[in-house]
Amino acid sequence: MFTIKYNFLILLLLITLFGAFLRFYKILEFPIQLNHDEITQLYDAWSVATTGKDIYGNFMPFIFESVNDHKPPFYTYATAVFYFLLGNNEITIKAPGLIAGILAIPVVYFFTLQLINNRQIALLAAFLTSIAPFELFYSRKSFENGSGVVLMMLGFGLILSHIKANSKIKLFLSAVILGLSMYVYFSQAVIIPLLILVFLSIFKKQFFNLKNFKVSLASLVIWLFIALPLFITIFAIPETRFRSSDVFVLQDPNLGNQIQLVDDVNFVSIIQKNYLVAGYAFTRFLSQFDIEYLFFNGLEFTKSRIVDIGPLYLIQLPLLIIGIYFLIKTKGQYNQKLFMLLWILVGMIPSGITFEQYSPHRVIMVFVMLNIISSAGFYYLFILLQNILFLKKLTILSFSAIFLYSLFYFFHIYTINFPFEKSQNIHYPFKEVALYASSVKENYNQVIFDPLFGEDSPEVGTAAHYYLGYYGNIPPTQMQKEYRLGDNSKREALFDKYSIRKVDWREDQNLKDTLIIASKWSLFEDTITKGNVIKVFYFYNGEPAFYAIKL
Amino acid sequence: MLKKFGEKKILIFILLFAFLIRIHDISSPVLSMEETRVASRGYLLAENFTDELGRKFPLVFNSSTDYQLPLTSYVTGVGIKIFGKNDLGARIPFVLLGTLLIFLIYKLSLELFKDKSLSLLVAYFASVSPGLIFISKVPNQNLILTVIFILIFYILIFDKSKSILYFLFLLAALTSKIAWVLLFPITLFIILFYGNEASSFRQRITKNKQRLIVGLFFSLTPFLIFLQIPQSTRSFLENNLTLVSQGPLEDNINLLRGHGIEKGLPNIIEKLLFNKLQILALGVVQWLGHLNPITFFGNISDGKQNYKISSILPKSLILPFAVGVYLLIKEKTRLWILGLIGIILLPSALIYPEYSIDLIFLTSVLVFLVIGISLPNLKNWMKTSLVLLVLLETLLFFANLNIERKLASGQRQQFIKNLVQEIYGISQTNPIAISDDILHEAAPYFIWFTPYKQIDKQDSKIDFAYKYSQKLTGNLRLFYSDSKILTCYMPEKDLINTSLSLLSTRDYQKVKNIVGQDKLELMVIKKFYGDNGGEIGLLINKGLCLQ
Repeated sequence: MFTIKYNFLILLLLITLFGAFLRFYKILEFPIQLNHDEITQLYDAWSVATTGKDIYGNFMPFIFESVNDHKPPFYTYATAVFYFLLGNNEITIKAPGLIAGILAIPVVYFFTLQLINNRQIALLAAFLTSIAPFELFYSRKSFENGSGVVLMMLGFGLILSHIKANSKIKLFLSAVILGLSMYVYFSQAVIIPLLILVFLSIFKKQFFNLKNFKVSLASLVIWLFIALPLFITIFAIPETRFRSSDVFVLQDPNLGNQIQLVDDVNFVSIIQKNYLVAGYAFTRFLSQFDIEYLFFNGLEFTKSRIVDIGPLYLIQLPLLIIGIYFLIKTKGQYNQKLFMLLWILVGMIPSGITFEQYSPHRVIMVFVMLNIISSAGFYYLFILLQNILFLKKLTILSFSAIFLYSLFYFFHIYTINFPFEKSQNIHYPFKEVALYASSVKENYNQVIFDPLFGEDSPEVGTAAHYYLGYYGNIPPTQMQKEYRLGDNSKREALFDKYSIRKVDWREDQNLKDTLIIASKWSLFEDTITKGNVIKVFYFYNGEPAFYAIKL
Repeated sequence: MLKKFGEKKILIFILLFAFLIRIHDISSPVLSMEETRVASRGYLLAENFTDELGRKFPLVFNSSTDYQLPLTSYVTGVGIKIFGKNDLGARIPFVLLGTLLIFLIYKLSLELFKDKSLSLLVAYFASVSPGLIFISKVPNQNLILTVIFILIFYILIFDKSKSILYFLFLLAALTSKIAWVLLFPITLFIILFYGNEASSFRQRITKNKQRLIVGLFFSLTPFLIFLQIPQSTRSFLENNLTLVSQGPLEDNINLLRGHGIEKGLPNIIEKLLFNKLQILALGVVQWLGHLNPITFFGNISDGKQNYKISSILPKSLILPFAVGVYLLIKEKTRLWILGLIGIILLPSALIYPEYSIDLIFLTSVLVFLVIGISLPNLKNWMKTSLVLLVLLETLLFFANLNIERKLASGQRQQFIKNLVQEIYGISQTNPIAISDDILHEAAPYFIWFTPYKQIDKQDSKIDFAYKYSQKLTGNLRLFYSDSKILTCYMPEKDLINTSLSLLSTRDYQKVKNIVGQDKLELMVIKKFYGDNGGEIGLLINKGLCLQ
């Protein structure tokens, strides 16, 4: 028994090391640049670590204003801790994501083991977690929800373990962890209370048995105590409420058009509107289970999405089907299976009620559970073939080859095609612009940067001041003192020698001693072709992104 | 409870209810262009057995997307022959078939579950399903094919009359190309997998050899005959094999390969990673995607084949459906239902990226059976709640039909009837030309809404019209995007004085450039507006000529 456990732990360690390698491999090269979430959190973390305030001067903020998207606090503070450990560099912001991504592997093993009590399935789940496209992608881009899901699984794993072994320490620890994990990402703040309710209703007999009633109640109080400030903040700070309504399904233009058709204001029209919203959200919720999205193109690394990659490998699709069959077919553990099902359904809610057609970053917890079910399918396949040695060996060989191929396919599309196709999505080449502007700013009275950019259509790079501030090595104290809003009509922000605003070439061409950096969307064609362009910044695929013009 | 009322009475009540909600507001939804084409063709067939291109008893018809097989048009013609050239005439065959479908779902359910109450409940759910209501109100092949297929299931499963089965095979083969693909596989599947008898596959095949051969005959023969038609390959590629015929997939494969080569990777690696096998994978994904409950319970239609803000089945039924699937897998004995759903949806693998709504309708019948399987396992309060929820959904569905009308206006335009009648009235005294982008396909509307039934001589020479835009003739003319519009004062030869013109924005701009804004504004007699209030055409007084 001891040996078996020991062997599994060695295998888990090897899988974890392999997972760590995949996450660390060329991490500073791919993704090709810090994205706008990373740069804002890194600069704010630097600011908090050195001054106790964010770059806008808010002392120890509970919610970070950031780029008006009001970020939850956990990730920035976690990055601040790594600032002390690793110093001021890009790996500091990567560290929490990478560590969460690596920890996810043993945590998934632990959670699966507690959930379905099968070491083989747990190990396979850990293996799939180590190589899953969504895990690699979100770990490497240092996305906060990844940490949130790790904490969530750890929390629920601990409660499940408590139910089996009656461990008070595990129960209280789970309450603390689940409480804290709500601070990581806003969707967690909705999902965790719902999942706790689901869990309690499924496992009520075990959780609230008379022997443990008071302890169980106490753990709930602890969780509530930790979560309460977050709830109060969400309800008390209007910006966080706006954030929720900003991403709600009502913002979807198609639904908006439908609602506009209900022009009367009366009782019937209210019902009609709600009917439209409910039908739309329900359809969106169901669309999250679209196989093409889950297994073929959900990560949207390419523009066309016809040839792409999903959060899960395509080879997992048959495994998932077999896994579902296996879980339905096998007797016992009904509560656990019901919990798995409801985990998936509840987990898809945030993506189902938001305005984006698909938002994989909001449903990482669902992908994790689908990985676990695929592992069960994998396991069942081996059970079926265990008496046919030749077939078993062939299957192992085939699956190894296919997973290797899939992993290679992922890295190809992630490191080569994704930058070519979508560098704009991570605000590339803002870093290069910032470094250049910083290197030449002393030669000018002011540097005007218009963050309106794009290959096919224009969008505003909202984190421009973070890129310029961070890569311009502007100390947070200076930023806190100097950052101010200017001409509202030009959405201007000012600090140091920088003016981040809309460029109006008809007016701005008359400025003197000024460096203007703007894209084709703000400049005239003849301006670009004339000789006053001193530098061109390119998207990764070689298309011009910005022009630096000396005046 | 049900027994107290009498199950037969309840069934009659459900069927009557189904009939009434289908025939109620018979003119709604407004017919789309393609449905109008079927209606107008039905009228011509009922009148003198010729279609809109003047061909006697044709078997392959024209449409704007594909060749059309004959049964739908002839069925529509029967209704028009009996009830006249109006909405009731064109739609009544479908109202009746839609009601018959509810009865057939009841019968199939009863034969399978041997439980009248349960089957009545299933019939009730089917009777108020928005998708089934929709296809029961407009001329379409989906309903006809679904009715034929449910009859085929019934006969195959319960070993009924062979001659009727073969007749149904024939009818299915005359309804849709989909039937050719499906007839043999579903016959084989049901023969092999239905029932618990201990007989082997070989015994089953031997016993049903004749059925299989006839099934194969009706799958292959129409296909082989169809291949003799000039543009049959194009028809398959553009409508039934879009997965393989679409260019973007190959372009994307080449693009992604190019990225790797640019980064110095060997061509062979790129070919291994990005190749046409991805088409196969995409096909499988597309097929399995159709098994997602969204196809039955989500609002996936654009208004053409179902209501835009409704699902095919009531959304509340997703719960018993999920329970039914769970039980099917758990019990295994009736897994054939899921298998059959999978087989029927298989052709969807070749049609990308759209949903194959026709196949979804075919499988919806089986989805009701899956729901039926769950019902005995639900507690009474659950069943009552389900009935009430479905009822509530039905009420909301009817309450929202006015929004549906506005939403579907892109596909189903109400203004067309009045516009066409007015233009036709004018054409009785004056020649008039109409921009072809106002009605997109004008002839079917004129034939359906007015006494117009002239056929252009050139049109009648076409044996197998494919995606053919029918011409107007007599006093009615069309301005095409490449038509040369001239003022009649110019000394050109062969000018046809159109006297009046109905110009779209496209042609208004053209004419403005010829005659000038001021002069043109003076020539405007009337403005026509679309359903959403937008200007769709301007009636221009004499002065324009078409070469």
